[in-house]
Amino acid sequence: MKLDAGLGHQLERVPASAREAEAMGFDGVRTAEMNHDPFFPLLLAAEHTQKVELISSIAVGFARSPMLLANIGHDLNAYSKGRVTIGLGSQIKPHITKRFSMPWGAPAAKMRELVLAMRAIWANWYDGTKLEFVGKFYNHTLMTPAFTPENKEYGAPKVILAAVGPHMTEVSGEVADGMIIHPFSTLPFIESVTLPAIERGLAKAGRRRADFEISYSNFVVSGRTEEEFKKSKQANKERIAFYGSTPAYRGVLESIGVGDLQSELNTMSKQGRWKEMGLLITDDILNEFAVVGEPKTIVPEMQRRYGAFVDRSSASFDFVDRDERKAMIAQLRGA
Amino acid sequence: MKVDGGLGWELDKVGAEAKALEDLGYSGILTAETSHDPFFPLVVAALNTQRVELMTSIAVAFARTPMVLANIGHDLNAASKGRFILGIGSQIRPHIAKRFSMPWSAPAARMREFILAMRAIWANWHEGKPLEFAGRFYTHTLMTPFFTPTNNEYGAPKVFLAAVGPLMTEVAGEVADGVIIHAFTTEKYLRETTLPSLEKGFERAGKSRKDFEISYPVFVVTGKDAKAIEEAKVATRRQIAFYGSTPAYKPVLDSIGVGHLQSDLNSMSKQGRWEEMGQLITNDILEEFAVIGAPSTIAGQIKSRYGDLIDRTSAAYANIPRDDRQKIISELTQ
Repeated sequence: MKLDAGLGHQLERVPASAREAEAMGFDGVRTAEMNHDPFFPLLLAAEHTQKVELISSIAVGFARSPMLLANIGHDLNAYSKGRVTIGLGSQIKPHITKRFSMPWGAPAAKMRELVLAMRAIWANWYDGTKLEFVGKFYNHTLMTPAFTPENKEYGAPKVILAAVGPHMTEVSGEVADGMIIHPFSTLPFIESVTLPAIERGLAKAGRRRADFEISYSNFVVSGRTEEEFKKSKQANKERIAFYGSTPAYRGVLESIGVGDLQSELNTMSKQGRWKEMGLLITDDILNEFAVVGEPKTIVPEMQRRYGAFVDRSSASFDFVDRDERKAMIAQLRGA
Repeated sequence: MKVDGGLGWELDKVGAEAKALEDLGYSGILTAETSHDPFFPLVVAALNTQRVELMTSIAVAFARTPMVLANIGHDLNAASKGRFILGIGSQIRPHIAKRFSMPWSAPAARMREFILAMRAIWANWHEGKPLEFAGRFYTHTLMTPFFTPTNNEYGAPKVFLAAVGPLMTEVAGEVADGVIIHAFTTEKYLRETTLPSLEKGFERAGKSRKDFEISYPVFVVTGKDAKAIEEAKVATRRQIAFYGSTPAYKPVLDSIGVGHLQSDLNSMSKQGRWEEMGQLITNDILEEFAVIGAPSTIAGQIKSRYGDLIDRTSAAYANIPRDDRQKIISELTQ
């Protein structure tokens, strides 16, 4: 299993934290898109590392035009000598329309088109294929030499999609190089919904599972002392409760027979009762989402549960000291 | 007068390039948006320089949403400790609609709203004002603490707007912190069209000329000897002819009484007769657009012609020795 580290967003600190991630043996570094640009840290990480993969996990796809993403992906991949993966997610309608002021429509179909549009732009730049992308959501039909990048040695970055539901998951299998399974997933959900959807997508495109990378970062509850362990448990229960309040994730709770919890959590979230919501997540529910135990049990349990289908994960293992963390990273990577 | 130098796009070189430009005495460093992301070189430059301003000149605004640009502007201004200037331009309809697949309409009105939307987002992030921007072109009404940057020490960047026509220029005067004037401009056009439009914008916003920067690149024809200057003249004539073939720029030619050239240049451009087009630009026309002479005369000429008009210029002058370039920069910035 490959393992990635999270990269911060304070740009002056990024060079040091990227170098540290590489020194610790991580395969990749990842940024998320919350309150900062998700690509700037990857640019600096490219400058200050040699080996690690550079992954946006995720950038909000529908907040940007495919042309911009194609250009950003090209520049980062060229600069890092082919180490970039553009991870995209759809976000949800209110954020796209009311935060980003962009149009929203049929997310899985639109995401499929967004990825195909990026690929059409790259095919134009790298292979000279005429740019004639006329879709339902995006049109790209104009490109001139002045706007075509000249440094083509490393070509296009990989593109992966974050997906929860079966439609988006299938799209990732069809058009992306991999997918990011949401941390808020259970084994029964992954086995009954996610993996079959990926297979359907792969089959549509005539691709093999080996050409596709599945990324999944399970919750981890651990600690060196009883007190740390308790804290970790509570924090994770609250996070699970937070995700569980989202209507779109109801299917995940249904997979372990607690679908009704979703409406209850949703009501409580609207009343701001975040702490209480955590109390509704029993130890049994927690175990479905998280690997729970003493530090030394974590890696073997991750491998046992997820090793068969997960190609890469991200984990900080920040509950142990640096040496032990380094050992855990090596153990998980099978190095 | 501030002097800006251009930065390349090769990301493995821009750190050293930026530092060299700072050492040469430039006031600012510019990137353009052609075949690469315009912000990446400035991120690297921010961490490799201490003093120079960092400016996009320009980034294509309508290819992006105000929220994405507000976030980029915030991050670059924080990383550079307040040295970032977000220079934006509209591009033209075919590029926005067919290259970027983004909406185009009423460019001046849309640009005004774009800048106001960014300012509303920054006011929310930096001053805690509610985000309730509901405009004709853009809607930004949702923001939560999770998506709000917390490193607010340097606040919002300045925003400069590229403008040619009177409507966009007036918008710049009203809502931007500076205007980026197209190189294809004459002194007459600047004084008779650009300035009055800016003044209208200032008046609308209740601000004064001193709160505002005018950036104008100035065509410069120079070289290390007479032969090099003659060569530079030919190249600049061709460049002027190229711009002159664009229908939107006809008023600039009108300002010096040669508006009739525009249709000739336009038909010739469609036939690819670029060399001949340059020959239509007479010495008199060239002098209206360009400062011409030996390197030692350039700074003096720019100052006497534009000193009372503009706040910053850009000076690349790749065809003269580094020492001469440094002298021009130092004379202009004094």
